[in-house]
Amino acid sequence: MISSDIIRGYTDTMILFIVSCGDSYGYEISRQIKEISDGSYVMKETTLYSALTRLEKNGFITSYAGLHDGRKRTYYSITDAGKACYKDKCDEWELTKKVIDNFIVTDTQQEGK
Amino acid sequence: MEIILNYIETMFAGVPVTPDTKRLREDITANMSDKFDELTKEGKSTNEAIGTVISEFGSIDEVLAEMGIERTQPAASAAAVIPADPSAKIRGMIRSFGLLASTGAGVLVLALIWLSEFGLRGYQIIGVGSIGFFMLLAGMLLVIISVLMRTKLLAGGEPPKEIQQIVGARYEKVKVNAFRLKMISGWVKLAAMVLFFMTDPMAHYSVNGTIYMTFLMSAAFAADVFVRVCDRTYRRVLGKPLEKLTAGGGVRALTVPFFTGAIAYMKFSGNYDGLNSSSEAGLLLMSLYIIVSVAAEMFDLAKKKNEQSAVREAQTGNK
Repeated sequence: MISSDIIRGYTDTMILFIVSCGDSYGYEISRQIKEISDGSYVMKETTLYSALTRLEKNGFITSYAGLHDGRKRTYYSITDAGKACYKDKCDEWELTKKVIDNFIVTDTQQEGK
Repeated sequence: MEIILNYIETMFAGVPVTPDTKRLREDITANMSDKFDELTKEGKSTNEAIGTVISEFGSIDEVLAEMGIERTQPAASAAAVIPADPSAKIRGMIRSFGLLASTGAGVLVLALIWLSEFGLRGYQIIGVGSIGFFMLLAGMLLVIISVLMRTKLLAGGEPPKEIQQIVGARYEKVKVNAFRLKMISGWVKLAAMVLFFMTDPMAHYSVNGTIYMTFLMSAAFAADVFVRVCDRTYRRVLGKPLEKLTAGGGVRALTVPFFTGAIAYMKFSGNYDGLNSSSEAGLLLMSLYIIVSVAAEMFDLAKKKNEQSAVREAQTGNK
């Protein structure tokens, strides 16, 4: 399990990625997050909705009412600002990864010493 | 599903209703329902699915902070929402109106004999006899309340599948206890009849046998009614067909009303100078009844044997 503290900064990135593949609604998004992360990250219901609220407030996604399987759903679609934000987030992650990697010692490196 | 809905209800308690929170609640409800359906489809048990769905809820305050909304009530704890056994409410209701109906029926039988013993003989209508009338009213009231409660429960239709499953598992245990209770009630009835025949008809002015019999018969009848009412309600709740009435079962169900009726008749028309024509008639009726009930039991037994041998023949025929 990944601690929610670590992943918090990247919930927005995950959601932006999923809605950039096509409009989606709450359960579908959380199901895809679970699937893409191979079941190692399950986003809590309220974490998902606080991220969706934040993204919508910032104009990165828009929502509209829809119907799926007879249940009322709110669908989300990505905006151009959202696409740009996703791009920035990806760049940011690349940089973060590079920086943090310098501080990470893997098992094989330890054995070599 | 009911548990999940209750959980959401509790989590949203104290959250002001705005278009945003209303939509949030609808969306979360739909998501949790979807997740529950999918988990059960994957073969998870109801309880497991409920556990997973609820554990993946999170904290509503997280979203409220993002929406800039403050709750009007402190958050409720999740433990308060999840009952230990979701079927407890239904089972409790079945038990309580079973008890009401059986107490009512027992009091009615008691009232009938009481009236025939003390009330209807003319000179004690006001006094000891009036207690009988009160008992009659109380018994009827209890039965009516119980019938109303049962109608209300059944009017709600069948409970959700997951609760039905748990009730079904409990029903298997209930059946074992019901069988025991029926056995005990049968022996009590037999004891009551033996006591009555041993003491009452032979004794001038002695009411001991009648009193013992009255209490024993009332208790046995109450137990019968309890078993029957509960069993029928469980079957209705579970959507199972009702048990077929056998000849022996039918006669057995009539035992208490018949005997109390016969005794009431004997007491009412007899003049307590020992055996007279009406008490002889009553005794004759009772003896006839016992013969009929034995015949009915034997008929059932023979029928069962026939069915079994037919099944056996069919099986050997297949080979």
